[in-house]
Amino acid sequence: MMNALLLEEILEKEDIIKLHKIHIFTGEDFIRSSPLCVMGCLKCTHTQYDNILSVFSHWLAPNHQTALSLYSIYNGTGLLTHLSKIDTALLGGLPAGTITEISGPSGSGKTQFCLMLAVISSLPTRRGGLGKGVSFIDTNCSFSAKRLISIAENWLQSRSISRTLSDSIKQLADKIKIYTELTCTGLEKRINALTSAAATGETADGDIIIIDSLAGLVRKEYDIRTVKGVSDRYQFLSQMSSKLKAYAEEKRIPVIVTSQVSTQFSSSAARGQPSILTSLGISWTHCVDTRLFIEFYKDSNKRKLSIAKSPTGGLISVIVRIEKKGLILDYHETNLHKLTLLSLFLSPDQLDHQISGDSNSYSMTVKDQTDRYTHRVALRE
Amino acid sequence: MAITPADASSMEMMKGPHSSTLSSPEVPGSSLQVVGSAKNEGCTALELLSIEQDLDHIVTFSAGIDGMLGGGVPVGKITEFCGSPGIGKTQLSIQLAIDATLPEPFGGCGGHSVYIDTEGSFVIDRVVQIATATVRHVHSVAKSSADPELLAVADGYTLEVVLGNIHYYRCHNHIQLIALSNILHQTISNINSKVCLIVVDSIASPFRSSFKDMGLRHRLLSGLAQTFLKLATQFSLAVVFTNQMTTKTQSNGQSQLVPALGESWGHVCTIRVILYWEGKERQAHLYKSPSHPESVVSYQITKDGVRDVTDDDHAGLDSVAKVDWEEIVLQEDESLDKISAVEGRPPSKRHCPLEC
Repeated sequence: MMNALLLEEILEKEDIIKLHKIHIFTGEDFIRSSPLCVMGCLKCTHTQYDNILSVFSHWLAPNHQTALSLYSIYNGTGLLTHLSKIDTALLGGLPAGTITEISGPSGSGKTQFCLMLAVISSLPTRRGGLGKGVSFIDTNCSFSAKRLISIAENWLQSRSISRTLSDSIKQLADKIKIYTELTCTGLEKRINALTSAAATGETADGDIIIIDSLAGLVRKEYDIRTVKGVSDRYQFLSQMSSKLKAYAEEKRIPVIVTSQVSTQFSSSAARGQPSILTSLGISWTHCVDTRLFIEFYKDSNKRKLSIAKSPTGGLISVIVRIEKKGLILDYHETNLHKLTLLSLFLSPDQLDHQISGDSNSYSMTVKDQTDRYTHRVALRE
Repeated sequence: MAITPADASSMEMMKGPHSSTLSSPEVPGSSLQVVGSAKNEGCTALELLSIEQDLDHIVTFSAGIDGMLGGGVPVGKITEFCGSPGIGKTQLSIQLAIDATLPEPFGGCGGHSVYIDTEGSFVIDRVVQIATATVRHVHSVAKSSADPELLAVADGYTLEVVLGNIHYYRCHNHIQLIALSNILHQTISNINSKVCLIVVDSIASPFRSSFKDMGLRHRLLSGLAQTFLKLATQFSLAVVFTNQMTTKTQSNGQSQLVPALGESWGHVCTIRVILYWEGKERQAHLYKSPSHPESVVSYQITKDGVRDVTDDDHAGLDSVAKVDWEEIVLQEDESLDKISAVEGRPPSKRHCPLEC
C-alpha cells in the first residue's frame, strides 16, 4: 500500500493509469519490470526513467549500517545450550536472529534437546536462561508435558531453590505455549499468525519458536518422486524459512527447527557433497544458519553432537549424555573422542599410539619406528 | 594458525611490481575509467596489459587461493564463490570484507567494503573475532619490521577502524537487493575514502524462492550483474558473489551437485571458484577464469579466519592440533628433550584450527 501511494506521489495521474495497463501497481512492480517496457509505456527518456527508478530504489533499499554500529548495539542474546564447548564454538549459544536446525536419526534425542532448549529459553535470566516465552510447534505429537516439567524441575532444583519450586515451575510452564499442527497448511497458518502478531507489535517481546519436526510434516505431504513435488516442497520450505528468519531478526531471538536424516546420508559422499545430508535436501541446508547434528555414540545414553554448519565457523563435535536435565556434556568421553580424532591424523610411520585419561588429564603417546619422536599430546582444559 | 610476519612479507612480495602504484595516492577509479573511455575508441592489447598490471587485488589471507587467482580477488571483475552449506562461503566473504580495509603497506587496499547480506548469516561476533586477528597480525608485522612508518600506519589500524569501514546492508528479498544495487553508486560516491570491494552473500538465496517465472528471474539476475559490473569498472572495485549449490538430476537418473541459478548465470561471472570438501579438507577449485589455469588448492577456516593448509598440517602428529578451538600444547617427552633440540623441533604451542 505504501508503495502504491508513492507511485501517486511522484507520478502524474495519467502516467499511473498507463502503468496500471502494463500491470505495474507498486514500486516493487516498477523495479521488477523491464526498463524498455516502462519507457515505451510512459514515452519518457532514459534519464527520466532513471530518476523515477532512483526514487523507488531509495524507498525500497535497506538501511545503511556499518559493522561498527552493529557491534555497538549488539547485546549478545544468544540462547545458551549450557553445553560449554558448543556455546564457546558458537560464540555464545545459538545465535539470535538466525535459524538453527537440529537433525539426527529417530531416537537420537532431538525432541529432548528441544524440550531442554524450551526450558532454558523460559528460565529467568539470572538462572542462565533468556526469560522469554516459547511457542513450541509440535507436528508429530511427540511433546510430553510431563517430561518438560521434569526437565524444568531439574534445572531449577539444581540451583538449589526448593521452597518456591512449584510456583516457579508454574510460571515457567505458563510461558511455554504448545501448538499441534498436523498439516503443512496448518503450519503455514500458524507461522503466519505468530510472525504477523509480532509484526503488528501485539507481542512486544517475541516468543522463541521451536518447530519439532519440520521435516516429518514436509516429507509426508510432498511427493518428491515428481519434479513438481520437489520444487513445490522447496518453495514451501524457503518461504517458511524466510518468514522465520525475518521474524527472528526483528525480535533478536533464535528460531529452532528439527529435521530427520534420510538414506541420502549413507550414500557415498560425492565430490563437493557434505558427508551429512538431511532429509530435506541441500537447498534447505542453505536456508538454515546453524546446523547441529546428533548421532548415536557407543552405548545407549551417549550421543555425539556436532556442529555441521555455523556462521561462526567453529565446526566441532562433543559427546553428550541424555539425563534428567536434558543433554549434558560428557567431558570424559569428549576428551577421549578428541584424542581418537587426533590419532586419525597420524602418519603411517608413527606406528603406535596409546590413549589414556582420567578425570583430570588426557594424553596420547605416539612412537615412530626409530623411537625418536615420541610425543605426548596433552589436552589442556 | 596465525600468519607469521614472514608470510605477510611474502604476501607483499607477491604484489611486488605493483607496490609503487599502490603507495602512490590514486584517485579512486582512475585506472579503470581509462579502460572505460578507451573502450569507445578501442585500445591495443598492449595498453590494456599495462592497465591490468596496475590493478589491485584483495588478498584472502590464504596464499593458496591468492596464488590461484593471481594475487587475490581481482578489482574490476566479478568473482563468484560457490559451495555446499558450511564450506566457508560466509567466512571467506567476511575475511575479504575485512582484508579490503588492510592498509596499503600491509598488502591491502586501505579502503572500505560494502557487505550485502541476503541470508542473515553476518554474525557480528565472528566479524569481531576475525577483525581482531587481522589487527593483531598487522601490529605484529609492523613491530617485527620496526619501521617507524609502518608502526605509525599500524597504530591507526584498530578494530574500530576496521568495523567502521565495513558497510553492511541486510536484504530480505530480491526487490531490496535490486533497489540497493540501483542506488549503490550514490552511496559509494558519498563515502569519502575509496571503496574496494562489494560482497553479496549470497546472490542465490533471494532468487531461489518465490520465482515461478524463470524468464523474469534470468532478466533480473542479468540486470543485477550488469549493475554490479558497472560499479566494478566505474569505481575500480572488486565484486564478490557467493552462490549456493543445488542437485541436478541427469538423464541417466544420477544426481550431481551444480552451482545454483542455472547455466546462464554461469556466463555472468568473470571468475568462478567452487569450494568443496575433499575428505576432511576444504578445497577451492578455480573453475573459470580468463587469465589463470584451472587449479585446485586446499585451505582451512581457523579461529582467525581463512588460512592456508600448511605443511605442518600434513606432517602427521603436528596436524593433531586440528581438533578444537582450545589450544593444545604439544609437549616433547622430557627424556627426549635433547634429541628434539638437536632435531630443531622446539616444543611448540599453536592455535588450533577448527576443523576436525
